[in-house]
Amino acid sequence: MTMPDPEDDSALAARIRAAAQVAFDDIAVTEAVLARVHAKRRAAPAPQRRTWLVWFGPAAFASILAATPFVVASYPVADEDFLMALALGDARAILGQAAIGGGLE
Amino acid sequence: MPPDQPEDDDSLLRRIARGEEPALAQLISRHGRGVAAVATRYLGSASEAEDVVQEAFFRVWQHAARFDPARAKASSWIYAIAVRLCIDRLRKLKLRRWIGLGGGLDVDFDSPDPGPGSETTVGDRQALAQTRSAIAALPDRQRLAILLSAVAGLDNARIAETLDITPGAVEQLLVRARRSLRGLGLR
Repeated sequence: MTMPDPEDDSALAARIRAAAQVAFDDIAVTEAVLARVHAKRRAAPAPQRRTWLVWFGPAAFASILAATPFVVASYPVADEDFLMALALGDARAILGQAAIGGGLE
Repeated sequence: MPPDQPEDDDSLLRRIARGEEPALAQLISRHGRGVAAVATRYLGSASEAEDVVQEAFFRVWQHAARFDPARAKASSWIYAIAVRLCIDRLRKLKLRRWIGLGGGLDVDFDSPDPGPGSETTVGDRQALAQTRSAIAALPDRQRLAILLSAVAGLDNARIAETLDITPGAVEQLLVRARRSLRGLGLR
């Protein structure tokens, strides 16, 4: 087996380093980061929403789940392509069909 | 500590954890350029990389108190934060491109960068462009490993800490990346 020549590796690394050089303004980045830090400090504490979410989240999810068959059944585009895409779980095709059916094209 | 000796990263992170802003400025000055270079070449977009750099150092500020020098070197820890952000960002960019919501990738990948390279000849610029294209053509993990090695200057153990893989796996990634780059004409 041929071992890599470390000399070659360092030359390659130098070439990669040169190609990866970017303009970088450390002062601007520091100011931007500190601006976020200060903004977070100033921000008021978020209201307590957990109790509300505990009840509303599952209820909303169950409603969407229950309504899905009716939405699909009443969908104006029920052609073979759409049903095939739905069966195959082809999200891109479904979106495309939905866009055509919804008059987006 | 003698006044002329630079403060080490661990000490800077301890000061950041206490809320000392000048320590953050020093850390960004020391590691920001490397993080920006890795992010730019990994993501293929300078503007996306800029967001990643800011977010990474914001998280460094938020989580500095959690840094444990017994588990990793400070530079590995900082790069690990940036790498996780880069991977998430690239996944989103690819998804956006896949569903046709605009590229995000390769937008400004080959934009000329000011600095030491700006006065180079046409031949040098072509060589730079060739190198950038070759880096961009690498699989994601190989690209990340070779950038962390060549640009960030991390050794295999530090790259392993950063990517959360074994040093042996890092070596394999680097060997494959170098082989691919040579296959694409880089010497």
